[in-house]
Amino acid sequence: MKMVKNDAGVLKVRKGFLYYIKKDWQLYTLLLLPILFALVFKYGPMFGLIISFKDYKIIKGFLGSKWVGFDVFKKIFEDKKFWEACRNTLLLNGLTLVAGFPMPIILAILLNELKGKYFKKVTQTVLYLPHFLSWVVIGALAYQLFGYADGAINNFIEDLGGSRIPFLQEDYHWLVSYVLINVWQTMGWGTIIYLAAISNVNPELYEAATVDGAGRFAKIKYVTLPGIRSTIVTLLIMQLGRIMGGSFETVDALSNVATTKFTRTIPVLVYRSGILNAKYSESTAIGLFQSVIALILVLGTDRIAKKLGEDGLI
Amino acid sequence: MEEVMQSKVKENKPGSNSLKNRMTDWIIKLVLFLIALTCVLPFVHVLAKSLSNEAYVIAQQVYLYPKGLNFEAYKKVFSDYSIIRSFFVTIFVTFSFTLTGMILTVCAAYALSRKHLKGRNVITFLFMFTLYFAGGIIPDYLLMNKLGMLDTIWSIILPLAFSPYNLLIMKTSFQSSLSDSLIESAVIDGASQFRILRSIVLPLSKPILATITLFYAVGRWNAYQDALFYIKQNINIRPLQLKLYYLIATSTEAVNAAMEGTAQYTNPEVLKAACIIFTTLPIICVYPFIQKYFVKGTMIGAVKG
Amino acid sequence: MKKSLFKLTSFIMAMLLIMGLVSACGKKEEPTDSNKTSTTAPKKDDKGDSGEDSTKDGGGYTDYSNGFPENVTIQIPVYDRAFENWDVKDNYYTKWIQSEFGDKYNITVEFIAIGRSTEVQDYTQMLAAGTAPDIIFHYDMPQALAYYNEGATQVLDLKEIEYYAPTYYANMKSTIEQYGAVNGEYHFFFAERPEAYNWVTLIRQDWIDKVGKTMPQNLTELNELLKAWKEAGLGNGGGNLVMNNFTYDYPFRPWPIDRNERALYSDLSVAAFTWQPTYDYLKNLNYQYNNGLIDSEFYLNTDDATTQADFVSGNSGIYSLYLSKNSTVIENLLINNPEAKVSILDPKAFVPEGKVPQSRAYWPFGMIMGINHSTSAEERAAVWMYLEWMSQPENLFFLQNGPEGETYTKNEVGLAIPVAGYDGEARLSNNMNKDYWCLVIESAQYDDLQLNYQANLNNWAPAGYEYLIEDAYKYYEEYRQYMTPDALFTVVIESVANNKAELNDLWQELYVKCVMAPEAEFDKVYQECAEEYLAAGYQEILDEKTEAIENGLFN
Repeated sequence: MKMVKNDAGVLKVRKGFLYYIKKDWQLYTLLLLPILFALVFKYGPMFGLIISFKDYKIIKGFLGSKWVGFDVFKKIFEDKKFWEACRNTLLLNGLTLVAGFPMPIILAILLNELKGKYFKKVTQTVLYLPHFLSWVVIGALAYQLFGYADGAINNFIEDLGGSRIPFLQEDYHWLVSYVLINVWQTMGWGTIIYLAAISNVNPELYEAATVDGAGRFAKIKYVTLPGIRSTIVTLLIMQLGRIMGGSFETVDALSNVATTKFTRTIPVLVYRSGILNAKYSESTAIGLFQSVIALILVLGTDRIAKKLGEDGLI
Repeated sequence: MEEVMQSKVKENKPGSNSLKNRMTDWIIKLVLFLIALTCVLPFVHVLAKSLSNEAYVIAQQVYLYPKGLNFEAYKKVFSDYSIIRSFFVTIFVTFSFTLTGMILTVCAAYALSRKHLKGRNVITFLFMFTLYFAGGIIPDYLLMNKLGMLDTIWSIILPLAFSPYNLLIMKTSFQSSLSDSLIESAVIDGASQFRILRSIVLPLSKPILATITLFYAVGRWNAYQDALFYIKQNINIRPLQLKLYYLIATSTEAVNAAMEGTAQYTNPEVLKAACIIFTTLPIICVYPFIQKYFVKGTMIGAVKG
Repeated sequence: MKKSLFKLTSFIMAMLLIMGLVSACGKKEEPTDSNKTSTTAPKKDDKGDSGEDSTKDGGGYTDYSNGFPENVTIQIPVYDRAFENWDVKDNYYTKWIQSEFGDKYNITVEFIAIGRSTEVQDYTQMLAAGTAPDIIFHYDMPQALAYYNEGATQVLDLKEIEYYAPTYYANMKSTIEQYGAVNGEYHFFFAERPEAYNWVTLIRQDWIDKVGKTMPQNLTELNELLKAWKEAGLGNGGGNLVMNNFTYDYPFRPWPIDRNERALYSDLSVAAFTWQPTYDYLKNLNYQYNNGLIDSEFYLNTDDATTQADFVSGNSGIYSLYLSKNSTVIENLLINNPEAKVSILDPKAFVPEGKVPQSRAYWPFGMIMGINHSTSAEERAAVWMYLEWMSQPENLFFLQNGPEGETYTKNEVGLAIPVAGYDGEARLSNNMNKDYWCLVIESAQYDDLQLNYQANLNNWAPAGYEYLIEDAYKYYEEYRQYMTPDALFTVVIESVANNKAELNDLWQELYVKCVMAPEAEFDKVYQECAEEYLAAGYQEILDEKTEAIENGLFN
């Protein structure tokens, strides 16, 4: 046992490692199995990241392939298309985040305000239906509805005397449509976690607010929102971490070859080089790049959150 | 807190309150109704397709109601033994997966929510790290091969059972909603952490438990990418979404298929739609049942002072 | 803070290292397979020989015709198309193969399912894990070459194939000799591809009649027909996105063909954007687009479902497909448009005046196969014997049709007619067991030409529409003289493998841009796109091919 000065300048006993294990052995036991799962199923395969630094040939395997250092990364970073993909990824994900993050919160609050139990239950269930539609189906449907020459909505607009709108066939229109469709697909499902968080808020706080004469809107502002703040912050941090990621499917399902300004994203690149082109070193390297950015973003926003007084993620 | 409230809240007269409230109620209902409509119509469309004559579906003439009503596709679904078997496989897998995942997540989330746990930050970081760094499909496959889990049902139950995403959400929930004083008094009373977890934490956390259970169950039910790679030779354990994927994949390959002489004995478009309904309906119905756990007031009386 | 960060990082490093060692150890690491780049002539002699087609009677090869001394297991890949109630690894026919072939020679035949839509991933994963089957196969040459590049295939000895599989080798000798070599060594063997003429273009005959015209004989007449359709408010000429399999420019090529020019530009996997025929093709398409003669959203038609939708709903009057007896397109068309009539569009209709209806001759092979690099000599011998056994007419016929009297009956001319609705034990797969016998031949054939033609009619024509296949055959015979096969290089053109996916994507963007440009600006837009295409890697390909052509490395 050592004696050290702690932050306050007071002399304290510095406890050894074993002390803590003995004290909280039950908690550590609870952690045993999860850690094992993480080690085996998540950290085990991580060794594969090493092919970002190799000229991977399947038969030579991970160890046998030739080491090339940062050549793969150099090649990727020198490609103009890569930076265009970065820009597009940030743009698409950023806009979707800005538009899509508040929506589930707003919906959850609105749902919470509902009195009729039956209406509330049905509405909730219906709202998250889009989450269950695969993007292939959504893509096909989107073109059937919003297609310029033949889409149902455009036909309807023309019938009303208006002019057709290229929802998905003009670059900036496409951008807006993409964001809106994404928000539509995810917002219902997102309300579930917020509804759970809202139901955790102590009802006594609401009662106190009523006593103080707070109206509905004020209650939302001063009781509900602060009550679910930690959930909001956690989800926000995790979603910010994904801003360089995203799935290949959502872009692929909605894109077409005539409207390509914003449709080349990093997941698309990874798909093309990894699955279509069998350039595994490249796709893994791009993936590694995404992961590093994500980590930096998450740690960064976590730091900021902590500075602002939140518990943060870690 | 009360001072803040009083200074910031306007005075409201009781009479105008209820009229204003009722009007906002109606507006809220309308807005939600419209949004809900956009969410349900695509399903109505898929349902209509599944009950229509193939010719109209291919010509994209079907929108919200069936044309040439027939139940051929559903007859095919229910008479195809392999689809029925996939259904039961999926039920078993989803159940096991959710159970495993919940046990692991609850244990880890509770342990990591205790601020006094040494190394808490490091361990949380290690879990979170795996959210953003992954080896790729080839290393995953090699691992499954080495563990001998290929073509077994465990390959789609175990690897993804522990989700760091769900863990972090649950941990946050525990941290913010479980009062430390409550736990501490239990410790002082001599309860073990296991006992606290079982008797205090779980009953008080029904909403978040219900939510994460739903996340695990729905996540497993919908996903098929891992089954696509790991279950190749043993077709008996193909889950439902994988069957649906193959149906869609083989039907969009129609050009190649005809070239290679594959006779098409199925009606792909309509069958696709029927399978989508068949695979989605069960899991949608789960949520209404767990809604009752989203009950307010689970913390009443639990905290004093 | 710094201390815990240091602890953290070192912990992570340690974990990664441990996990890496754990996952890496125990894995069989193969020594690098030789990726020789020599360009010597393909070896035709085997190890102990003097290099002549000398007499062979077991000199160097063990005779296993009485069976292998110890049981040998061979793993044969078979496509899994997820047919209902069908297990590709274990069914009446796998059992039959084992008892008729495997048991006779003390071989265990194991079938490995390869997902049809995930085959490259499947193979990649299995190769990485060392569990790939003994045959590595693919339908496309570029992917087969990619497998070769990864080191997945081993060098073949043609004399060995001849020894163990004389019938098979007699069928495929010239094909293997011509196409099976890469960089001076033989790596590939093939399945036969008989002639097929069921790729047809359907046209709305009733629309042609309605505007008082006849079958167009060249591109000008076709465009006039489309214009007439448009004016009569009938519909457009269809259209879809050209994504791969680049054969669009054949009607625009000069005739006779310059061999070198064809070798340089004509490539199934990379569009020849800067070639004159492509310019002509795009210019015509641009004209058609700007005058509303084709579907204005042709680029959205990226798969058969969307293209077929336009035809079946009556929006478009032209549609191409591989016709088969189970094609439902005509039936669907009639349900939506009861007065419709269809004919085969004369391929001449796509040809500008002054040119001839050229088209691409299919390779003489279907499935391309290689032997897994880790397959032993005995296993390899067993594979050859398997191919030999399957090449025997009676075995092949059984696999393709089943037991006579049960699954089929022979009609008066000897044609096998499947028994309708047979559901017994000997049921064949939905594609007539094709995925088993595709290793030796691509479609069912009869020796008698007339019988063969009859069988094709049965297989390819929907009931009542035999005239479609008859017409298709007529055109096929008439234009056969203008069919030319692709040049095949004897060296691997690296830049094609490296750039083709990129260039394919770029092609789609650029050509659509050219087509949709206003007519007056077409030349300018085309020039810009051509430059972009060259810069993105096409120039590299042209350079590498030019060098190969100058050295005569193609045939």
